[in-house]
Amino acid sequence: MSHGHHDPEENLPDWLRALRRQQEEQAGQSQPAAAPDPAEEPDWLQEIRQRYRPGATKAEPQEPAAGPSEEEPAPALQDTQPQLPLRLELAEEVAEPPEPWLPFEAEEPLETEPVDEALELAEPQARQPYGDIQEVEPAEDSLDLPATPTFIDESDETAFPSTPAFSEDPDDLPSEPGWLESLRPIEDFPHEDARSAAMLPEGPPQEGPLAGLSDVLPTSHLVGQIGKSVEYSTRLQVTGSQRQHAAVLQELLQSEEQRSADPVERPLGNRLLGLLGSLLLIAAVLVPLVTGSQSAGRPDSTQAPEVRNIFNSIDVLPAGAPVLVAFDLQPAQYGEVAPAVSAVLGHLLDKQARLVLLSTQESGPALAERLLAEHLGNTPLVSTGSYLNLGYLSGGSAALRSLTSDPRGVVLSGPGRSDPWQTPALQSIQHLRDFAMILVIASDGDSVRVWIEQAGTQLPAGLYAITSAQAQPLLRTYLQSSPPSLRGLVSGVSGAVIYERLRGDVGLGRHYWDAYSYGLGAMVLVILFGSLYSRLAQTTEPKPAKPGAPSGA
Amino acid sequence: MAPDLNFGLVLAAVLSLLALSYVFGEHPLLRVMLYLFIGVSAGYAAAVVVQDVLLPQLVFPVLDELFGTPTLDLGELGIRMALALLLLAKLFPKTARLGNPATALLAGVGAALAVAGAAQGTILPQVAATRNIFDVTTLQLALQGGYYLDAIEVIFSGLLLVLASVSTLAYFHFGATSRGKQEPQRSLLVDSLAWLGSFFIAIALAALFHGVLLAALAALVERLDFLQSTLRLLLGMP
Repeated sequence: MSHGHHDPEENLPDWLRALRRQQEEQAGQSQPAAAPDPAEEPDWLQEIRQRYRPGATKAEPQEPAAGPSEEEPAPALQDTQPQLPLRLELAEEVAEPPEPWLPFEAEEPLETEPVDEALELAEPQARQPYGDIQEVEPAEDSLDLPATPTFIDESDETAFPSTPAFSEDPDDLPSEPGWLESLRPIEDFPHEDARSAAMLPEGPPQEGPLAGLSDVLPTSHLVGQIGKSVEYSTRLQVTGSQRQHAAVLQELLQSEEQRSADPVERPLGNRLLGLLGSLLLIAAVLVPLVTGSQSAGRPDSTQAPEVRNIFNSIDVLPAGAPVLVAFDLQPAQYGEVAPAVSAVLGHLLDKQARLVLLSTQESGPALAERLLAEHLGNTPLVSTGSYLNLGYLSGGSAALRSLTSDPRGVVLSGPGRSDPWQTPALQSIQHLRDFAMILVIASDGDSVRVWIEQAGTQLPAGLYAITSAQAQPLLRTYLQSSPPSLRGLVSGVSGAVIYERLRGDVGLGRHYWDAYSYGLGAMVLVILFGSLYSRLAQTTEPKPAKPGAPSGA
Repeated sequence: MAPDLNFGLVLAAVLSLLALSYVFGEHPLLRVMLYLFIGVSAGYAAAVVVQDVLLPQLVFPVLDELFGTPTLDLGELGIRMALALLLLAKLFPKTARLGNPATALLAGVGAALAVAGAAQGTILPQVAATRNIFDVTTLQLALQGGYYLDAIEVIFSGLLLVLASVSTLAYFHFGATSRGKQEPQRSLLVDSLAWLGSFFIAIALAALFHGVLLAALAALVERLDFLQSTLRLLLGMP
């Protein structure tokens, strides 16, 4: 049984044929109006139309006498066409269901497949935009593949020819599909039109109240901008280098926490030795203090010429000489410096010197008052308050330089806001060098150095100092400079004992001296035995096995 | 003068015992004592600054100006107020930049004074003292008087000082030259002097450590004496 060409129109009933004819007639009446004759258009409109025609370039202007073009106008110039037919065309396009786009042309109609399978099928072809898509294996084979697709592991240059991203030779470029050619932008359009992107004619909107109208602002963009707020990321914008620094910092912090959480446990022997050493030291110090022993020999003044210098300078002071005492002392060194300070200030008070106290440390004035009351309260000048405490001088080295050049210009605060320069002790003082002696009492060498550098160069009589024992090595260089920046120095308990011996007095230094001496001996023993113990412990400690060495069975 | 027994004395004795209890290791009471010491020190310093600096040098002059009894020139008072307010702006992050001029003034003046003072008070006098490193006068007298041992001592001490100074400076000389593809190396002379200088540096550091130990021992003696005298007072012993 042969089947010839069979026209289905022949089997239509009459009423249906009549209805179809009626629809065709109505459709013929609604055909778009013929395009206006380009010859009747003004020159400027022809020029614009020619410029926006696809393929036209500025370097190749079209002949003005060219006949009417049969080509369709560029989409950008559809606003020059009549509006109503265009609206109908767009309406028909919207009404038609969009055809599914496939990257290859199937020889047979494809059956409807699930979306996921379709995506999997389309993926290999999407990786080769210009390849010969007809040579691609049927995509159904890839459905049974394991997790790693074969097109990655078994890539074939024949099936997936590599195409360079850019090629200057146009012959090397493969032929583009039609859909890609339609998406390619016209080169001259953005360069020729000076209008903003929002005003460019890109066709009338297809939806909304302005559907079909051209040369209007794109409402969809505006609505989208209004309805969608700008979102800012709350994450920190950090670079790779900053991440590395943060990682290092985090590691440091974690190591500190681990260290504090897991304190190193000292061996029992070390703890016992430390406890024994401490008890020995305390006993060596405490026993002479309790017994009041004075059996240890005192050092000779010939061993400390700097102490003798102070003694000699004070010893020749006239009665009532103004002496500036800078009390730059910290509370931690008060106990150590107190014997030397009480010895020297006692000597000054014996000479009836007018003491003027000053401090560049906040705690200095209070410590000065305490020391005078505690150790020199029995002297007449202290008990009657015949000394002047200028208080705290703020400003550090700048204040010292100002004090050196203009002492009266420096605002010094005293209790009751009285002007200290009107007191008898300071009436004759116009410059710092007018003081008969300047004595610096300091905890460390830096305080004395600041006084030497800022004020010592302006003082022909130089400076004298009473310090802690830890400052003596640093200040010895100023004793031996030329000219000597420091004329005299009493440091520590030994300096106090030497000074008391020069005065023929037995004071606090002598009271401490035995405990100090025996304590020093005990300290030497503790250091000696501690070092020996540590050395022995190191030698008897089993050495750690070297990495890689064979371990004994 | 023996102190009178009072609450402050007993509190000081207790705090001293807590400090000495570090012999047995750290414990919470020791930390309480440390926090108390730090807090009291900071609070006292702040109180002194307010009483001796801010009130008499800024607040009282402003009050005197307001009540018609000026004690300071108006321009000087204005400069003080402006600098103080600019420094106060450093407290707040938004206005911290306003305090930069006052901070720059402080830092600049401090640096200038430090450099000038170090040159005048430290470097020049000590460099000048090196002229007398060989006591020529004493050496001549010793040689003329036939005290040859003293003359040798003067020469030896001078040589020792020169050697110590040069070798210590060489220790801090880090210049090196590279020969071909070899690593940069110091010259043999500088390297030898630097090795010798390390001994003198060790001696200097030992002297500093010795001073610190002596200071600590003196402080221990004073505290133990205070404790035993306080205990005598508590027990009513003479």
